[in-house]
Amino acid sequence: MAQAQPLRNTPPPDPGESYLLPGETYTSMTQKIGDVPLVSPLKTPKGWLIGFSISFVLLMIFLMSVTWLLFRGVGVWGINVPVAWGMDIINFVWWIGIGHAGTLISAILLLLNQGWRNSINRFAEAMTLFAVACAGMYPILHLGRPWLFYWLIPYPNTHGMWPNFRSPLDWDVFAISTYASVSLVFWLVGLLPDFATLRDRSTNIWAKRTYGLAALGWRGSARHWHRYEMASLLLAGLSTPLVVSVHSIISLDFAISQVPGWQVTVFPPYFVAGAVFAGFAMVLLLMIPVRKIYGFESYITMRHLDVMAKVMLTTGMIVVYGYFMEVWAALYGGSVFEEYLLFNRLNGPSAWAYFGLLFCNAVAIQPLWFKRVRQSIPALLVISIIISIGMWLERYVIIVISLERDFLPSSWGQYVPTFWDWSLYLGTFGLFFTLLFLFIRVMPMINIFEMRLFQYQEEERLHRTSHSSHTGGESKPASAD
Amino acid sequence: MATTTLSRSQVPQLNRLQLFGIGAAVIGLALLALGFFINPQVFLESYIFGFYFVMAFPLGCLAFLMIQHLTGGAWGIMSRRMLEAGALALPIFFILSVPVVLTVYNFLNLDLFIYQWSDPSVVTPGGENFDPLVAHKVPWLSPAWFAARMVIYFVIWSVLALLLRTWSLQQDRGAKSLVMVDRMRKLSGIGTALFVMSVTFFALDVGLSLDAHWYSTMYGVHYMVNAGLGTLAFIILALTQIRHTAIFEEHVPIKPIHDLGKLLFAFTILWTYVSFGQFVIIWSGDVAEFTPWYARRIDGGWVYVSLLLMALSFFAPFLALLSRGNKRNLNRLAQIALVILFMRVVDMIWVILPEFHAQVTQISWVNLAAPVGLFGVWLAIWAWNMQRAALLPLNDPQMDSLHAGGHH
Repeated sequence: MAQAQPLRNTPPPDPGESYLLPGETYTSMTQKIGDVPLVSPLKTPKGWLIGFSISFVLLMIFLMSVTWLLFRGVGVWGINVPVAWGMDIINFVWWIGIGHAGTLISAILLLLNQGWRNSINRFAEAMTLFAVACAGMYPILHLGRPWLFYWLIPYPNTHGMWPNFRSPLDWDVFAISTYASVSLVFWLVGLLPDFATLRDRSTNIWAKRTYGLAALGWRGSARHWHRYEMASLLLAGLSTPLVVSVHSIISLDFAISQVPGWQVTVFPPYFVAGAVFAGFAMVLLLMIPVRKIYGFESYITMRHLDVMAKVMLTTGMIVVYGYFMEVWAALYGGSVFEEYLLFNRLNGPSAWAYFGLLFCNAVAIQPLWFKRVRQSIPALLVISIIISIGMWLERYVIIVISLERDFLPSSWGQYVPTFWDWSLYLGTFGLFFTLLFLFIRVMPMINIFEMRLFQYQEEERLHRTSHSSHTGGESKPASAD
Repeated sequence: MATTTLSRSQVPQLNRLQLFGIGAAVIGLALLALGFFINPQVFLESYIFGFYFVMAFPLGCLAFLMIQHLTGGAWGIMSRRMLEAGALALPIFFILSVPVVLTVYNFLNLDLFIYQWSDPSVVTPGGENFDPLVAHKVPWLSPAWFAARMVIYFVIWSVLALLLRTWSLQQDRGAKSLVMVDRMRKLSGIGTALFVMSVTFFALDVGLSLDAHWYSTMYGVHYMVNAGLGTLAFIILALTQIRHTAIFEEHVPIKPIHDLGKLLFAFTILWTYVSFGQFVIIWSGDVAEFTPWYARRIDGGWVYVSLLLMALSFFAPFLALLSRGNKRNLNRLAQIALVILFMRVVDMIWVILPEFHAQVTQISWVNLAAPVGLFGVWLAIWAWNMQRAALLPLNDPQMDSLHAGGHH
């Protein structure tokens, strides 16, 4: 590639159009990203300490809520008959949905050759893992006797009992544990070259040893890189169906049953889209402050935010399609129960949730059609918060409104979350953010070597476009090989 | 490069394919016409089936045309002209939709209504065949509103197809390239949203309402995925016909073809996901309102068609497309695409014909003449349009993405 000399000073046409702002070199990137975890413990930024402390307090609330739950049983929650699924399942679906953006970014966008994912994938994947950790707590805690959770796993036992393989609740066990383990391996494999960089850059002997151990002997040889690339592709291939399968199976938790509003055939794709939708909102919500605080604006550019907003709009519109089809089915189908469900959503005691969800997920995302909104940080922050609330309300509507009033009016009931429902929810935020702050502190939150590669590719691209514009737009294929 | 005249090097030679299309159209429609004189009922059923099946191709072309304007990418710029040519058939299919609309008005005075809900004795209270469930759907499923909706759908689709083609040709003739890119992208954004809603309701109207009792919210998604899969298979097969055009050989490396292969793979899985998802939900729910639709596709020998779909629409192409070698070799990829394209007919037979025939053996040659004839019409229009514009939009800045892939 003799003519592909880096043109370091060629500015891109418009900063809002670029995935990497000019003025960065391989060294500057390695320093800027790599130095965040390598800072001496005594020089830990104050902001981090404050944030971590708050998260840690919330984590203690989590432990307290779990302890009380184990002590007294699930009766401390607001669940009852008929609403046997309450905030435990709402929050489970909400958290696991959030995780999906990470896998989408790391796996699907890798398979689609989308280079821009490089600067956000590590962070989004970490978010996935922590969100799955929060989500995974709920079904286990909701068992009533969580210490017997291993009964869900099929193994030959003296009871002679097997889980019911026809129940999607059991499919969840396999789907989520596979998802969590593959995501973890994918994330760790991606970290190896960067751990090696940290090992080589750290001056503290303990840091050197720790990162050296974590790097599993990475030396950056051609053979290492070859195997690394192969492993990444295979893991991406494995993760891709998992993005779809996990939330599809969660949608089947509902759709397999006959409850009005649950037996909806469009649920699987509609749930997957909703998950990605909520996940991107959370990525934006976390990424915007982080890029500002750590000065990563030249890696996570306005263009990134713009593209993520587009993904949010697209998946949001798919979710709106789902709402639309539900209404159509209720009006067209001629089933009194489905019709009543629609009436109940619009007029019942929890109508506020349905209207709230329509506003949050259908109306509030419409400004994203405009580039000005997609490139405005305050607007994106506000919309992302609204979406996060909206997607929580969606699960509330699906679970609570359907269960409160099913087929027989004599068995109707009402659901009111208790203090312990809310404290556990708040507590999972503690778990999530504690893990996230620890991650930011000890690991490079942006993939250093992929950024170097991306820098090289961007330079080559700029070189090519400036080359072809000299020849009046009539470009010929580069004759490099 | 502002050329107004098209040189031989820029345009694929598709005269033979066009003749083939015309031939298929003439033979298919002649047999269909013959069927009319034998049994008008079967003629109409076949026409509706054929129309519903073939519409998937111009609609699939329009969808991918808008998607590639939105996402960019080498596969998109390579396929753009083929997609435009396919979508341009929509105004003509508008005319071809007339018999479908007339059917709900029972213009042949048949004893048995093809669409049960268009039968006044079924939907009028006190009628001899009164069915309250069907009557419940009448405000939506009434002949006038059905006809009006059909007009709305085709106007939306025709306008989208014509505008995108016109602007794309203006770009060829040297109009401000970036302005055109922006304009096409914006229209595609709104167009995609309109498309999804209109195609969903088209599928619900023409396909789903053949069984006036049953419904599924996945039905529209299934039709769209089916259309996408069929269109991708067609585009890959079409590549074998145009690959030797000079302009194509000069600009297109193997990478975007490989990418199309990956898309075909993804859509094969998507089709399975959507089909199986709908089945497993209805099967597990086991509610009397929903199961008859599947029961009809299991009884009377239809189960063999179902099994064939599983084998040749999922397992075989899935396994074949896993291999990188098969996706990077156009000849092998085209063979797989041919199977997938054939299975699209089988899939539509499976979706539509059990509504008319309880036994799979009752499928008649008239049933099959309609899709052949109408597909011939579409193929001929496609080939004709393909020879009216350069094979690649050379003035589009996206052409760069083709060359970027050329290194590998």
